[in-house]
Amino acid sequence: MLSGGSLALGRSEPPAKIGMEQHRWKTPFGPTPISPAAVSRIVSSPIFDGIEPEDFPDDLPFTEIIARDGRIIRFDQGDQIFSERDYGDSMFIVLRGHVESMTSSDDSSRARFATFGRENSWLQSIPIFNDVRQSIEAMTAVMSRKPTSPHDTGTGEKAAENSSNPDRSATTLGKHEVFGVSSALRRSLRGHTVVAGADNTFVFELRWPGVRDLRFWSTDFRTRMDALYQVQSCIHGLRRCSLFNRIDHSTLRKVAEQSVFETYGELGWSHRFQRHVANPPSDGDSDNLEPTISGQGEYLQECILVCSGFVRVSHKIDDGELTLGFLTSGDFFGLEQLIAGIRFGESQRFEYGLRACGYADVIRIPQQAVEFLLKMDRDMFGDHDHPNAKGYSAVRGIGLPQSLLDFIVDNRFLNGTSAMVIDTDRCVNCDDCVRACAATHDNIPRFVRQGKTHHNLMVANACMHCTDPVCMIDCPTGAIQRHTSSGNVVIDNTTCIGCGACASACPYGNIRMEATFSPAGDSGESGLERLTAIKCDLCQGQSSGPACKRACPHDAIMRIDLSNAEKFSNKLQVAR
Amino acid sequence: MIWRIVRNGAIASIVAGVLYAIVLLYDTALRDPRLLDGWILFSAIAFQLFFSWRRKLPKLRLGHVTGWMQAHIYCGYVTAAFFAVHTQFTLPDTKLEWSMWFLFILVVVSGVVGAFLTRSIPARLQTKSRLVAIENIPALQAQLAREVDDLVIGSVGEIRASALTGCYAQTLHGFFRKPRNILAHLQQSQRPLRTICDELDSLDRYLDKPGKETLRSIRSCIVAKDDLDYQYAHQGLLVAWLFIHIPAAYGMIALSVVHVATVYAYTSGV
Repeated sequence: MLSGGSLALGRSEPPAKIGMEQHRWKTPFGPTPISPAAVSRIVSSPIFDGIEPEDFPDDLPFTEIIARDGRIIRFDQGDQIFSERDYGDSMFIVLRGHVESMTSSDDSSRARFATFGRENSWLQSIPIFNDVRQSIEAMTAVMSRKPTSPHDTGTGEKAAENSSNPDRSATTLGKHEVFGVSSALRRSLRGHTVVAGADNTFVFELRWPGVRDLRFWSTDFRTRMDALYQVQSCIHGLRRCSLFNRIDHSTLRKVAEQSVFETYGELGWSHRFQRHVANPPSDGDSDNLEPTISGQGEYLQECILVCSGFVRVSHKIDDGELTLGFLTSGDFFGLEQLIAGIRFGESQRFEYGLRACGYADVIRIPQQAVEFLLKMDRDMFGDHDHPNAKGYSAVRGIGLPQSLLDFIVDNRFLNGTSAMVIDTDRCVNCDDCVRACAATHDNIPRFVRQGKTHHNLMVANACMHCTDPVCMIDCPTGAIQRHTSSGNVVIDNTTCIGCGACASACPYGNIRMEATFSPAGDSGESGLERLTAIKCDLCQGQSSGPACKRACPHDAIMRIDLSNAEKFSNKLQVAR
Repeated sequence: MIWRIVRNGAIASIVAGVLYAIVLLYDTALRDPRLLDGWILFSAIAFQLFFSWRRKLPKLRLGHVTGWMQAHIYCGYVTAAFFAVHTQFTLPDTKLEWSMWFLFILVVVSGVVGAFLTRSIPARLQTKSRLVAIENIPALQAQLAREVDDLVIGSVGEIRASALTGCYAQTLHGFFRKPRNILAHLQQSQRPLRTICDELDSLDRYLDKPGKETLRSIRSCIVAKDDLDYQYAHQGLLVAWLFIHIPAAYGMIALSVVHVATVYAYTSGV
């Protein structure tokens, strides 16, 4: 069962100014634009059903989006299309052949998949690999069947599962099936590995600007994508959770069917957040900014698994709410209470309230599903000794001082995976960090050594390489993107057109527009210097790490994952 | 942090001990130990120069500057110890040696003071509401001066403001022109601020309602200016000690080269 709000980008105007597409199309996604014949075959996929080309503006034709924002890639059996540790901002459609999707729980089998096709001549002599081959054959047989799963959205895009082999969580996806949607929309880790299941497998990949424009101009496509997003996120969210490692795929599917996937807030939450910061409401009402997921005191009929985004855990005190901590992707809330309720037959209430910090996807796993799992295996949840099952122990930030926790959560710094935190008790303002940054980046420093301060900790205006990089949503050319393996958010200066969409979307003011010259040193066709977006790239490509941190003589700079409260707390203690 | 101090201190002590043992062995071999400890001293001084060069070459993969800073500091302690060994705890007897001796002491003392300042001043700066970069202070100071000028000039004619204008001419004008009370700020003294605020408050009885408003605005400007002065004094000191440490270090090295040349001109060199 799926419900919840749509994945609104939080803007009513088109995501890109008309005319900018031509700029991004100067460099098509593939080596050359896709031919019209191939485009017509691609758009016959059910995912594109109902799209009316005339709904698109003249300078943003539907077929051109497919031709220039997409590419067709050929894979042979065992070739990896993407890894679960990759970051992605594109979606895929199988055009020919089939692919296998799997998660880390079957890492070993993935390795086998990766080599099976190439080396089966000698591998065939090893019994375990024969088992794998049989699994593949079984899955291939399932692939040829017509999908009947309740998770099908009627377009052929089955929600990545296969029940033929209960011991494996690998899934076969056949022709016209869609994958990679959740990471494309969330600009996050792929979360599962996909390999080609046969030789001559052809896959169509559509990059984020194309996905975004199709979603904007076609309601049918948007609805279908959102449904697909919810299905895939629900399955992947549960599959990624370590608590469910012990259950087979068909059971997991049953849990998913009983669970409710909900989306709170907007993908493009930063605009609303910035307005709130600029003009805080006088009555302190935060419902618009932080939608309530679960109110304090509500009866506990389900536990909550956070799929993505951040959730504030708070406790009502007098007229206000005290922040207890926060949850992020993979964290459970209320599971222990639910189990206690089931075991002792007492109804429980949520002791704390939950609010989405801007945007969050959650899965509500109902009491019946937990009961079902407990009946299957009484020790399913480790008799309360599983770290994720300890009631509120999953709540992060509990060890931090209250004011510091408020500072991090209120300012949404918990989004930062590599925030530049300066210990102002050690910083002597020598600017060596700024000079080192400039020396590494064509004499243009990528950060400003100032920012919001809490006691002696300053979160400098340097890109934090967010878990949820909202700056990427509105980029018309796709110039700002995640580095596939490191996840660093980087800007491709050759495609940046200086529109400033990323700078205005960044809720922390960490992207600024600078007049620069072209890489060749000249000033471009117009004879003038051009504006480009400038931000910290964590010295991408330099194995020695960020130059700023390396250059600080006084050990004042830390690059910290602020969502990892425990690590942050330890670092603070070490720095004392 | 304490662990780092203990670790680095231990390493520096061991290195110094080993080097001193080598010098003693050299002495036992009936050679002139001052030649060896002199070269050790010169090498240690030269090594410390690399720290400033490392800071100027951030692109090179030569380790974290923090490590270089630590090496610079602890090598400085070893250098000071070898200086004592080399001079045999005696004062020099020629002008050249006096110059070197004086410069070495200046470098060591300024280095120790500088290390203390870089640890203590940043925390002191946190006591103020917001940190202002030292290069922005003159502009902000000029802006405050203009604001006060406008307030005082605006009050003339509209209100009976002779007391105010008199105070401005005598005290405030000079106060806002440039950084003031540097030493008092370094001593964390509030006395200058209290003095000028008391003087301003004493005018309150002579002023009507609009005049009192103006007085309050001027008072807030004075507090802001005092804040800037505080930051100027402390941030300036963070930079100023380097103007002693670095030229003295280079001067000492230049004289050391002359000293080495002189020594080899008059000894066998073994």
